[in-house]
This record gives sequence, C-alpha cells and structure tokens, in this order.
Amino acid sequence: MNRQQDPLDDAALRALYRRSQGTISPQTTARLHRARHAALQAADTPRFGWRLPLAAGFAAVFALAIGLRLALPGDTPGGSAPAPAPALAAATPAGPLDDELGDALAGLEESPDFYRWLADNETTLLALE
Amino acid sequence: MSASRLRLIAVTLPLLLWGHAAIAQSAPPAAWDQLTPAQRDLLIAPVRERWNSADASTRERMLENARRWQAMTPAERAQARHGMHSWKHLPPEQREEVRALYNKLRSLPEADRQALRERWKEMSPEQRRRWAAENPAPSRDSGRER
Repeated sequence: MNRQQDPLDDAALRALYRRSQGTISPQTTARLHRARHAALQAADTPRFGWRLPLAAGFAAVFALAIGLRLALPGDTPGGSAPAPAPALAAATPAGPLDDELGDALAGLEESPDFYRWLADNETTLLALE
Repeated sequence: MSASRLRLIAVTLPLLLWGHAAIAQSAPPAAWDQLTPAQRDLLIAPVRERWNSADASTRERMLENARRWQAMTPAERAQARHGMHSWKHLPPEQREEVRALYNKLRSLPEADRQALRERWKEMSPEQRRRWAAENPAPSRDSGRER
C-alpha cells in the first residue's frame, strides 16, 4: 500500500477544508467547540474509574500472599527452619492430616498384634456395648 | 506509559502471580529421600515430642511396636490398621476393658482362653466393667516423663 502523500492532493484538500469552514454557521462552530472541549475534559479525568485502583490492589494482595508463602520456613527448600511446632497441636483436630499423624502415634502406643486381635474379635468384643 | 498498557499490566499481573501460586501448590510432594532435613524434621515432630516425653520402658515399647509393624505383611498391616481405627473410636472405659481382656487372654492357656471368650460374650456391659477393674492391663499413664 502506497502511503506517500501527493503534494497536489494535499493542497487541494486544504483548500477544500478552508472552503467548507466558511460555510459552517457560527452556531454549529460553537457547538463543535463545546463538544471538543467536553471530550478533552473527559480525556483528562481517569479513564478507568475504580477499575485501575482495584486491579492494582488485587495485584498488591497477590504479591503479598506470594511473598508470605515464600517467607514461610517450611516452604524454603534447604533453608534452615526454626524448631518445628508440634503438628498435632497446629492441625485442625478433625483434619485428615491430623488423622494420619494420630495413626502414626497410635501405631507406636499399642502393639500392632493387639490391633490385629481387635480387628479379628471386634464383633464379639463390642457386642452388647 | 500509556493508560492502556497500565491497564494491561494491572489485569495480567495478578493472573501471573496467581498462576505461580497455583503451580507451586499443584506440584506433587517429593519422596522422603528428596525432602530437606527441615521438612523431615517438621514431619516427625509429633513422634519426637512423644518420644521425648516417654520414659525408658515406653520408649522400648514404642521401638518394639515399630519393629512389629515393619515385620508384618501388607495384609497383616491392613488388618492392624483396621483394628487401630476401631480402637480410636472406642471410649476410654471400653478401651480399658479391651486391653484388660487382651492381656488376660495372652496369659492363659488355649483352653482357658476359649472359656473366657465365652464368658465375655455372656457378660453385660456392667459385668465387663467390673471384670476389667478386677483384671487391669498394665497402665500406660506411667510412660510419660515430667
């Protein structure tokens, strides 16, 4: 596509523009001025209203959350962690992780042979209870 | 920087950050050998805490139980886990009854075991409680050091 402008065409267009301007009434010119002024004012005011601050806020919150995640000692591979808190105390009492840890401890408290015996006899043992 | 570019950044930055977090969370946990010492330490903290609060005889018992778990076949472990699950849901009084019965049965010859089993079946809850009080299993409460 040839984007070069022909000087003759350019001069002709400018002459046409000047002639057209002369035919526009003062009322129409004033209305066009007012419209142009209003459009410029609208361009000066923030174009996104509440959306830009909201999006920036979300970005900040996400960045903060990621930063906190990376700062946690357990998430830092190879990093030195302080003395770990007892996971049983920290976990939700009814959580699956707590169940797993509770099982690990219960498995050491009683003999697994006792647990097998209980599994074999629970129908008899717990009847009438 | 133009407003449209600012808007583009404001919209895409949270998505990128959220994507990073989602990928980090969805990564499968490493095998035990690939965990850091700090992560392993965190995972075994409850056992360490229990071990440190136990006296010598309890520590010996915990080690022996761990050895038994290791020596079991997968089917035996599954059965033991089933029993452990039932055990966890028993009220404390009933646990004492069951432990008392188990310990008593282990000390009896086979013929007497069968007789006790039959008696147990016929007992009312109150009779079982009384029997357990008269034949208590070794206490577990003495296993914690202060």
